[in-house]
Amino acid sequence: MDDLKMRIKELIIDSLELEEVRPEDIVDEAPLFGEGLGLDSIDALELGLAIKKKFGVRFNARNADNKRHFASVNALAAYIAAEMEGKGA
Amino acid sequence: MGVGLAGLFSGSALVLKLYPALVSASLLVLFGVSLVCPPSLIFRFAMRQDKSIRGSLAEKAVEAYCRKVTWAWCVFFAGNGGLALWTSFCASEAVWAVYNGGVSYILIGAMFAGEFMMRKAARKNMPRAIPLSRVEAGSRAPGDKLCFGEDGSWKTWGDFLEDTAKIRRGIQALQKAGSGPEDAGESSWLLHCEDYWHFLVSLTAVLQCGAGVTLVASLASERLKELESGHAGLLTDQPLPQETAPSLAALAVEELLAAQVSSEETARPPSICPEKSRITLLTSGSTGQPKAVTHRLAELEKDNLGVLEQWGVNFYGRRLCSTVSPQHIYGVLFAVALPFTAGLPFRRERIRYPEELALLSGEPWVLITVPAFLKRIEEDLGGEGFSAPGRFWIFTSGGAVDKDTADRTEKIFGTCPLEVYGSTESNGIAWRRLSEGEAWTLYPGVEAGLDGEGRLTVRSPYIAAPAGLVTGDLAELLEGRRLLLRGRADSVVKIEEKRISLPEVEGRLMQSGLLAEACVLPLSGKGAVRRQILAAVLVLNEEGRKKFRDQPPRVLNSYFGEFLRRFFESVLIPKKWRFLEGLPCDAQGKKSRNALEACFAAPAPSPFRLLPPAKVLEQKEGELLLELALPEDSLYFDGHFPSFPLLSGVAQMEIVLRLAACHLGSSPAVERAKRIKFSRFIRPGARVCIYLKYVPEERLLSFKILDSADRKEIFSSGSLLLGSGA
Repeated sequence: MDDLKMRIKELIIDSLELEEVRPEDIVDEAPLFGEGLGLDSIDALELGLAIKKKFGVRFNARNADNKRHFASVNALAAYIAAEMEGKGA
Repeated sequence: MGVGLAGLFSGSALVLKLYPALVSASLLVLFGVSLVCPPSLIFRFAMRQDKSIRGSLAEKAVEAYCRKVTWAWCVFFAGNGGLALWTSFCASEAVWAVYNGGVSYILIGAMFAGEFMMRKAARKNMPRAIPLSRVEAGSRAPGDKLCFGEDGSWKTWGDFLEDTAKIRRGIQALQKAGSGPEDAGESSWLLHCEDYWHFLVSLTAVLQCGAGVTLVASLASERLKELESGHAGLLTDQPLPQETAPSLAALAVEELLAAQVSSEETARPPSICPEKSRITLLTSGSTGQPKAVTHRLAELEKDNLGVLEQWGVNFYGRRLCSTVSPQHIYGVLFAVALPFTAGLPFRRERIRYPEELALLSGEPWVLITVPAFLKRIEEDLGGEGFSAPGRFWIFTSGGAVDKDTADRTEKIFGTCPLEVYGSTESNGIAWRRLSEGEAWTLYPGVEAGLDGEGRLTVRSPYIAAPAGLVTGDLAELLEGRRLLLRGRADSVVKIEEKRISLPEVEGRLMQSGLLAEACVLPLSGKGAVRRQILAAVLVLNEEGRKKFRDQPPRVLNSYFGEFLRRFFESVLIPKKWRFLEGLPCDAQGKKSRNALEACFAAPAPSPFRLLPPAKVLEQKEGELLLELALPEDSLYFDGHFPSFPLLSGVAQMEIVLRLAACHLGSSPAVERAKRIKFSRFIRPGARVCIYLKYVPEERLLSFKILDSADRKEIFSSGSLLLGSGA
């Protein structure tokens, strides 16, 4: 799980071209949008695309669920892990 | 008649007796054929009688109704003809005469009367445009569906009357309590709702109270403090930022909606005067000050009705969903007012991820979106039937759609987006579909011209000022009410369709009190989409240098990012930051755009040090002479001999490379150093001249660090073979 979180953080930094942010600067449970990392709605779209490309996971969810999945690195990791497990099985 | 004559001549009574049946049969054929080859006969009659039907919101519904009536007449003619036939062969002449001379006519009369009554009832259910200012309790039936939630719940006309009454009660209670101005007509409310239904009922209620409304795009705390004084309070469905002024009267929309209202309050909604209702939008002006643009409801409604007149016929039977915020002009017009006016059921929740589109129910949809969203949708979004012909009707605005995005959109949705060109000040101006060409067509009633500087001027029914206005866009006028757009004429830029003035962001940065200079510029990202972002080049002042001394760059980045977050929405916060000791400028002392952009070609140097301020003395193709002051406290002197500080060789190379990258656009990476000679020490407080020469073909950068422009004393010199990276 920690490995997955690390990969997610690297993906966030890489796909959003964040400068001067290292994976260890991103707190697992901190909000990604608004305060915290301060991502915006365009970042959300880009991150969704990047996650699909890297992990093959799609956010085929309802509006309210999507908000929850993108809340933090922890939430993203939980969702991606569950989806990948579902696929691999 | 012909049959009658034939009957006379032949003398055969039977042919005469067949006459009514033959008339019915020929009418049956006439009506029947029109059903096979539409439009149906009745629809043709209706269109001839009422010219306003064509192209109206109701056209499709009227057509469907007329088709049913045509069917009914076919059935009638078949029945009537059959009976007439029966009377001709099998009944006595008396029965024939009674039926064909009397009963048949009575039946026809009854058909006409019945259809007339049904038409009256059907007319009530025909799609009709009901703008906010014409709302009455009985405008629509209480059960008419207006809006739905993702969970399948519906909001009806009855809910609309009730929910607006609840919000009015909240507003009036606050005014009675004395915390708002006495006269509602003088007051104005701030509004920010994410949920379109909350937005609609709040906006309506404020206008019904006779108050003005200001739409705020984000609840950024400092911005709210600035706006607070002119407003009675804030209506929102979002949590407030913690640092908001406690004196701001905030009404939570969801709390107000949980209360009860009497049927009396619901039954008589106060009318809204379109000429007196004020709706203010906040945007970025070219002056660098945030700009408030106030519209009357009248012009917004005319814009809606214009759109419905032009395209309303295509909306029949559709639902509407949107990816844009209702707090901007495009959102309030297209995502809220348009579906409400047209009676198109709209989705309450904003669509934030493309995947949500794949989950929409099977009906046809109107999608309100922006290019920033369209270009980030993957091609395999929908499953089978997703892009069935006509399933989507897409409006986009805020910026032009590029060819690639238009093609992809057509592939994904089966339709080319309809682009609307307009602005916060002007409302709608023109439209285009890229599949039909690059030129924009003016909205009906809009007159366009150019001013002396090539800027587009517009007079239109959607602008309150009779003289019209000058836009900030450069344009070229073409024949046939068409035009081409040629970019902005001022320092206003669009970042992913959000309009922002660069001086405004710079002004806000300067408010931090930690900067001597600030320069903000738009950049394109690297990804496939080439995302547009803002970037900032900042020069710290004395206080700033003290505050951030020895701090890593990310501390500075996030400090200034957080600072701006108190004023702007997240999309408008610069994503990249560079801190210099002076802004790069050319020999005339003007900020050099190329040099500023070049600062971002390379990552910020690490360890983080400020680049000393440089002044360009001479610049030729590939050659440059700069003057550089090295203040005593420059971090470049750190780390070498505390008792005898000097500019190390490594630091000198870093400065040379950064200056060359800034001004000559060379690579900041070194492959190999050639013949470097350090002749004399450079001490704190020194003022040096640096000569740079760059030959791109050989990737060779030569430098000399001199004591003065006449190049007498040399501190160091040499040449570097640069890496091939950008």
